[in-house]
Amino acid sequence: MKYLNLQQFWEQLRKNRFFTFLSLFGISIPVMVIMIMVLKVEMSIKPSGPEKNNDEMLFIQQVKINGKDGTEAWGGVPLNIIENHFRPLAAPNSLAFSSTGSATFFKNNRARDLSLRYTNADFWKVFDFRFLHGHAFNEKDVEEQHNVAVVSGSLARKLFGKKDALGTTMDVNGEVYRITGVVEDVSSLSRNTYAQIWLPYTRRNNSPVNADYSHTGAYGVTFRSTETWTGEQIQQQVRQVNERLNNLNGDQELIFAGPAPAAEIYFRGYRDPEAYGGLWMSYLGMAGKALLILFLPALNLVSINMTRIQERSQEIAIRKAFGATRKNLALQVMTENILLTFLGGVMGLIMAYAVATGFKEQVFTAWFINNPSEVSLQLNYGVFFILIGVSLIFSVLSGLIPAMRISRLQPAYVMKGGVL
Amino acid sequence: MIELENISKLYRTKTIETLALDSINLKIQKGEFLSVMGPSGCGKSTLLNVMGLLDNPTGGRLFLDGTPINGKSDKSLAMMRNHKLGFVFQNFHLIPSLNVLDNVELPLLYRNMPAKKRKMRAQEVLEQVGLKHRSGHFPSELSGGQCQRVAVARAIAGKPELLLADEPTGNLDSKMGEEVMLLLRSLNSELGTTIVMVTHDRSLSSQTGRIVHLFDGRQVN
Repeated sequence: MKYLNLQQFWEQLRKNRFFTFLSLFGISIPVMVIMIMVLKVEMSIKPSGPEKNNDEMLFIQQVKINGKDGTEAWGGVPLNIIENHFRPLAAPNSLAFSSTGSATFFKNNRARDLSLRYTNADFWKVFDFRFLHGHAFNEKDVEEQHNVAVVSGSLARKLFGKKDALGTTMDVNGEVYRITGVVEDVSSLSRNTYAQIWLPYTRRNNSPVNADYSHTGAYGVTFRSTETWTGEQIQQQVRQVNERLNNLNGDQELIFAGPAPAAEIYFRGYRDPEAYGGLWMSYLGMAGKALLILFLPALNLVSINMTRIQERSQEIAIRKAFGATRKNLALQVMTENILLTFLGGVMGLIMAYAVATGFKEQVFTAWFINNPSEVSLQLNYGVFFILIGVSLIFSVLSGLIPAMRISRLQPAYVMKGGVL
Repeated sequence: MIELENISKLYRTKTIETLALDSINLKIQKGEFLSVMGPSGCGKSTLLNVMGLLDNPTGGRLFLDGTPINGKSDKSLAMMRNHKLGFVFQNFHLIPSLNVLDNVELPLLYRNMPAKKRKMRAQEVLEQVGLKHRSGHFPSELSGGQCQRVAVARAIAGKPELLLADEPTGNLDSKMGEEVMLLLRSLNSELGTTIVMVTHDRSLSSQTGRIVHLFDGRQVN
């Protein structure tokens, strides 16, 4: 660090304001894009809201059926598998399943799309919702197909203003539901729990549970491990179920995408479950995207750095004359570049946060996320570590060539007026 | 102190070859004050750059304190420049974005020396050249004479055995030039620093112990 003179660094930035602006702008924009990506992933997989204990959970969002004739189909878990095979093996209060849908709601002659989620009764025990008023619907409500609903706090406020929503009714897709509970809003990035209205799954038009196992379904399943029903046991038992079903299915092969932790489920997305290469491949894929985003701006910064360094040829030559080695000079350039990119990185993070909160609708709609206004973003140490990592990669990408160029400088040539 | 054996320097471009130094043989003893004279373009600065390890000769051998320089690594050359050599340039070559103290500290920065000690040494040499009170100023805030005194301070901060001065008074008026010359003479006489000075000025060269004349890259005396 002794080769970095902060006063000089600041002077350089101040003296060449246009270059400084170009550099910081060139760094902060790609960093911003990456940080929004990171924030989105972070908020999607980190334990928070009702999924605050997701480290105790394993999920299956998809099944794939490979037909004998080469056909492939993948989709949600069918209800008959859940009812006939998962329910019997699950520990009490440890199996949640839900299916999403939508409803159109009219108020003041304006149609509003609402996110629905059909759930079982244990859904409310597996996940940790915070009830603002009332309570969840129970097993009896589900079994007897009662028209009951839980709504989010913000929806209750939109529908009923300051009036108490409990016990009041609302029309959902042509049916009247009684509200039993109001919960704190869930971020729309919480893909296993997010909705604005939660209804008993028996209110949904389900396929019969005695159907064969040759079709995909509509449900996502969550297993919550306990002391006596560990994650390993869950995975082993689900594997056994899978084998059993394949024996029953004869010619068809059924593959569960899981049970897997939240991060894996996030990266699996809704693609072909067999195409998933594992968590590390997902992280590598993300890193690859980040590198791609950084590459062009880094090239740009290389050329800006080269221009800046050419302006400083004399200084570099003087330093060399007074004993600086190639390594000293390369270190100086790299350290300055790291500091500059870190400054740009912090700017990028601030911009990312500002954009992702101020322009949520635009940013998250582009990623097909429901109700972007209900995305919640929080900064944490993890995001800062990633920021430092991204800034470091950027500074190495953009600083290495100028640093190498500098180290080859011939002082006599530069002092005679030559440039790098 | 320094010995040049058949040193030559050839500059090549696609179209032309220029022999800047042609078989220079020179031996400079410790404690000498020597001046190099000659018309513009005769190779004076090139000779100084070769002696200062800032430029590689294309032929001949160079010895510093009896050690052959040819083929030395960048790291050893940098260490020799740092520990044994000091430079004073006609255009001062101070770093404009560093203040006077940081400029003077420069050679010490590349030594394993604690920051406090570096600052103390820099203050000490600034006092020696009468500019301690200017340590926080930037070069743009100083006169030409003051800049050259700072440059001398920087050159001697690392206590070099050999000081190479390339027309140190060339950009100064006669009064300021005389001040700088006085400084160099006292360094030579009081501290025993070996000095090689390139100059056009006969009155300055007459104040040195030996004069070497160059013409078209050749030594003529």
